[in-house]
Amino acid sequence: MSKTVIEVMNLRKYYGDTKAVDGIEFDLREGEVLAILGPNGAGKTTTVEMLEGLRKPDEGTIEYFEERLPPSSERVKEEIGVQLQSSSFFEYLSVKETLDLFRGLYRKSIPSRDLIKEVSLEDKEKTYTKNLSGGQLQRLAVAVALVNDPKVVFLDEPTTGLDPQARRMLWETILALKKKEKTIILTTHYMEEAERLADRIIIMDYGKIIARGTLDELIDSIDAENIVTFGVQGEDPVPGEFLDMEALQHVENREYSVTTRDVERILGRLFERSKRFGLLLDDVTIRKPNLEDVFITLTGRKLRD
Amino acid sequence: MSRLWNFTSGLFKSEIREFQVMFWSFIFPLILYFILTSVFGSFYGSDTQGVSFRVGIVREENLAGFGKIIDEVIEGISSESGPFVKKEYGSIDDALVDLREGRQDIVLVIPAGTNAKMTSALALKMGEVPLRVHYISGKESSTIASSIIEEVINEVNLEIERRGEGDFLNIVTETKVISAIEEKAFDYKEYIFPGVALMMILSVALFNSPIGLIQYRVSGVNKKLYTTPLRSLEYFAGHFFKLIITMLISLVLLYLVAAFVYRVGGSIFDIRFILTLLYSMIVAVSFGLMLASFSKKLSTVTVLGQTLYQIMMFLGGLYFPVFDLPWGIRWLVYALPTTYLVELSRRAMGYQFAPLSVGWLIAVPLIWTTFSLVVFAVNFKKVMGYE
Repeated sequence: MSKTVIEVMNLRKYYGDTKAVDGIEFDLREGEVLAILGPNGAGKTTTVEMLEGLRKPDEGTIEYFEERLPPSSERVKEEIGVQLQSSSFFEYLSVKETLDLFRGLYRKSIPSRDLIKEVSLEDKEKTYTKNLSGGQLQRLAVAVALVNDPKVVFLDEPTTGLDPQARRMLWETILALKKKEKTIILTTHYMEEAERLADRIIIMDYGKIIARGTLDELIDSIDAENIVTFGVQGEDPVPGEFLDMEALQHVENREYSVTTRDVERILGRLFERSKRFGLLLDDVTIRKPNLEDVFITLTGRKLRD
Repeated sequence: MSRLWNFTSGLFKSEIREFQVMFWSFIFPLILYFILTSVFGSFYGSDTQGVSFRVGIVREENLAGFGKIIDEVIEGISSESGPFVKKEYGSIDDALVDLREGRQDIVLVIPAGTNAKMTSALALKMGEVPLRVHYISGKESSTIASSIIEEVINEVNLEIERRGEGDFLNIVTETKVISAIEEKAFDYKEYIFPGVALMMILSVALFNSPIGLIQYRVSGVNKKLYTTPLRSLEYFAGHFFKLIITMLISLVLLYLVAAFVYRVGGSIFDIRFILTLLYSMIVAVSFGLMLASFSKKLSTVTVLGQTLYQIMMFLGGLYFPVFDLPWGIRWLVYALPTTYLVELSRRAMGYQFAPLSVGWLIAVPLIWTTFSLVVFAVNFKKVMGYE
């Protein structure tokens, strides 16, 4: 069994009356990719910033490696690589100079050119960071997080604000890290990102962990083989009797979803009621459940609400 | 050490490439030196002359009888509006201390035996009545005041002779040099050099430093750095060295222009003068750190820095004398560290413009430095932007 790299116990952080992180516990094993998923304000960034030593917990402990070191210890700082949610560097240093500067802060480091190649920024090597696009800046941030060849890599919403192409490019970089068996903590509010990259997923909401496990375990936990989604045409309010259905969730506007193991029964009921109430159905689809459905089932809200 | 050097050189490279930093730190001081020297160089061709002089009076004997003539003369030339403002002293030592420390321009001593010598001179129509004038050689105001006193005494002798139809009285002044300040002609190009140097130091310390710190905090660079093994002390040492390197490069450029273009002499190469500039750098940098610790926003620190910069520059006496300003604002002159720093530099060059001792010139900026560093240390976490 692989070693535990980080152990988090009863972690709490308050900002005034707001419980940003409210008694969470988890551990992270060597070579594992853990995704912390949740909507904005769920407490993901506060959690990872406490793990990175940027914020002090109000309660609880964080221990690194077998030596049970705190995040503020120099050894931990030498062994972690951090990509923050918003990446900012010295504006008038080039990509290579930025990497050289950060390399100089660690005892061990990877040559800058190797990192530049790894994040595909070869043609921007001499470009000042202020002239990089959002995607290039994020890739540089990942490269900077790797300069010390870290054991643990933190990626805080690495693809937020990126276009689909830049996002896919960054995913390739993260998958390459995964192949190198780096231990990675990834926060995101993109379920697809978590599904694609993570070995294990933690779902947070209002500072608490509301679910955890592998992708399959989480999906199994909502006891649904299929999701039926549909819309209702028209502008009049949808009658309550029409919507009186087990496991029905309001998605948005006039769109709804039902998690079920018996698709035929649900569809039959839908069509019968639409005929009875004189309503026209729209975009009726049947699909396998995903993390978004897990979140909706658990909280009654969409991940990005 | 290599970590610190690596960080310092990165910071320096990043900032120096910014046009604003390049212009204000390196180019503007040279332009200003050129402008000030061109405009005021000929205007200040000779020493500036004050409209009134401060004279300390020491009476080793109270004047009586004919001796009262001297009292009347002293009263006649002493008033708030000039040419002399007098102050009586109980002992010669106190008066000479004030003379040395610039609080008096000359000290006039009425020696013991003056009454008897006056009576004798008038009765026998022969002999001299000596008065002693202590002045500081090399200090223009002191030399001029001494000459004026001598002229006034000559006028008194002539007046007595005229009124007394041949009465003889020969009051003479014996001048005593108090301070061995080297005689030197006033040179505006030299005078303004420490002013421009200090202006450059201020611009780096009050703008580059706090703006840089706050910019790094606001943008998140500090946050990123804190996830690395870089220690807080190394972070600030890096900033400190970056500022000092910037200032030193700017100073070298200023020295080159002063030495090769304006032929400014050896006083700016005097080790004491150079040490005063280094001292000014430390004081100014600590002041800039304090400024950063007061501000959360970039706009606040810019406004605060600009305001303090202007006040320190103009009321600190960098470009012109400020000790004759009305008391309404003169208190500010005395409160500013730049007043003491620029005077300290000029004192090292052989000039004296402020009525302040060297002890005060060192102590007041030191108090400011200590105060600034304490305030900064208290607010340190706010500056860095982490818990």
